[in-house]
Amino acid sequence: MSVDPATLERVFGPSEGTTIEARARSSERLFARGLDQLVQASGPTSGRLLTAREALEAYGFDKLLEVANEGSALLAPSADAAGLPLSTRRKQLGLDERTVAARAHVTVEEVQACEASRRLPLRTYEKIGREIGLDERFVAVKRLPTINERIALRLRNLGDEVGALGQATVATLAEVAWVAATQGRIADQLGLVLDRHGLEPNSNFGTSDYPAYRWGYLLAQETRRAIGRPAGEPIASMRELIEETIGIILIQCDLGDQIAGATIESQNHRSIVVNLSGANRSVYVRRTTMAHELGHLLFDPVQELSTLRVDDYGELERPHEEIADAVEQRANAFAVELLAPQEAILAHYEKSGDITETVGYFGLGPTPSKHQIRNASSGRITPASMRVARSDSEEWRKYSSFEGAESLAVIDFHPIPGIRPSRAGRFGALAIRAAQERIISWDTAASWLETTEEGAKKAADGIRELFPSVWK
Amino acid sequence: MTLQEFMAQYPPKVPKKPHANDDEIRLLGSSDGVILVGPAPLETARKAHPNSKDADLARQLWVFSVAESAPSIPSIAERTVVVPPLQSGKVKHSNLTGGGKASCGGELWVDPANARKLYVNGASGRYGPDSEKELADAVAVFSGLGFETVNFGWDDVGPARFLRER
Repeated sequence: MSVDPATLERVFGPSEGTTIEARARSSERLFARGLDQLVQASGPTSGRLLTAREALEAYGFDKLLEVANEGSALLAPSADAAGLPLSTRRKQLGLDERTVAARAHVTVEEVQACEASRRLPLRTYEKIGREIGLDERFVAVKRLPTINERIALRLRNLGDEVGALGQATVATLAEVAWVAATQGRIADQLGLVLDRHGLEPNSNFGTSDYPAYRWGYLLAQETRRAIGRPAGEPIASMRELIEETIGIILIQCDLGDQIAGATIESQNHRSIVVNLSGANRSVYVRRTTMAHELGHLLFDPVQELSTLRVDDYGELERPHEEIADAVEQRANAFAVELLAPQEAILAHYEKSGDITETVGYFGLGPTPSKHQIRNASSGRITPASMRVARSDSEEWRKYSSFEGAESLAVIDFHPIPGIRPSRAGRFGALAIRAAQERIISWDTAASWLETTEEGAKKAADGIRELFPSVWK
Repeated sequence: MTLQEFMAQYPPKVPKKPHANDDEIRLLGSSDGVILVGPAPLETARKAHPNSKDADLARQLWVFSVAESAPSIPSIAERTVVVPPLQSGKVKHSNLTGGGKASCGGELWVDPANARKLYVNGASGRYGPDSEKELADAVAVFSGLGFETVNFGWDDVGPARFLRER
């Protein structure tokens, strides 16, 4: 689309470049969005402030031109487009109004009013939209729910199937789906793209002669080769491997005591979700959970991922040979082989003679470590013959060194007090950097991080220290 | 509030936006379909509820004008086809003033069942109200003419564009 320089100047103000995109990138103009419309920002507003680039990406050049020509651009196609997607999605998820209200920090009456498309601040609509996995940029702009449609249906079905996903878990995963989609979009805009290292999905889940767990071993070995980690070298941080080496989104949240983790595919971005509660409080279990989900995410074909796959602790803790589901069996075998390849863990144990030291060296929990050694030694070394030191002993502490490297839960010392776990990770760092580069406004970043604009700016340096790779 | 009182409080102002082409400041008159809003009822305008499917066709632009010798409220349907046709295909508020000054501007709809009932907003990029209070005062002018009025109110960023319950 070719636009004359005078028009570009009118839309974007002082700016450089010959294309719409270049002008938007260099423009310092801010736009303000209300429930119905978009205007050029001038002075204090209760509306959502957007950078030129942000407004262009969300609403397109024609709307920005309309703002320049007419003073405002109507974004909503109809009055009911404000509430319809909210009520549709909430019902898709099977969530009640009270749960959504509590999570969005609004009242039940506000949820009801928004679903009825009544006159409330856009920010109230946005808060509710994010909690149920909607792209808040399009709340009141599109009559049907945008993004994460299949995840919502899958969540509903999972709840119906297992009956175990309560309102809180469904609501948490719906919000996590929003984080995943948003983080993926911002990472793309910042050029922090996934590097799969040549690792492609693999639909081979084994046969009776060559079971799925063996494929899991092979894929783990392939992964170590691809990322340049020899078998004998421990993976110092699964978190870094996932987020920085491979570039996969990793999100932490509280999912109760049953679910270990999940994978989510949202807007072409695959993400790993790690529960902070339950057995994952142990760094070894958490590393296994992350490795297991990485196995799903790297190698399961799309149809197996089902856009959302939830794994409970029970499956992760069982020896992979005993798991009937080939997809889970393969992922379990992948996890233990990635963390502690059989030959390497056997060699280490035979040299050290101390299973506690071996557990501490590879960062794989005692039970799976013993299984790996037993399998590698063809049953010569039995699990019962290996005695692990008590987890509260000095000997255990001497060898256990992964807690810091795998620290997902930075909430306690995060520069933004009270930030929720799902947004305390790399997501927050990407939001800050995107604001610094005017991909989004500080107002947007602040609302994502549930703080004030000033609070987000003050936290920027501290967040950068926590996630330096986002600025590399 | 009377129109004169409103204009005393909110003096006429030039358009906030420059015109994009010359026909945006072509002054339209009664032969083009411009009507003057006077005491209720308003029978001559097309009628529809602002949230109905016919709303676009029934949308009337209004301004508090000083273009004539005395203050007046000219109004015209935005979708009126005029001759020669307008470049954008839509009438602009500046077509009601010839690009001159006006105290305020917006849109209105006449209730389909009651020509004494108006739904009024301040949606005008050129002459729109600068505050919620100014919009309320403008709506009070219509009330003063004997209309039952419904004020669209204020969005986060300006005069609301849709009629919503509060």
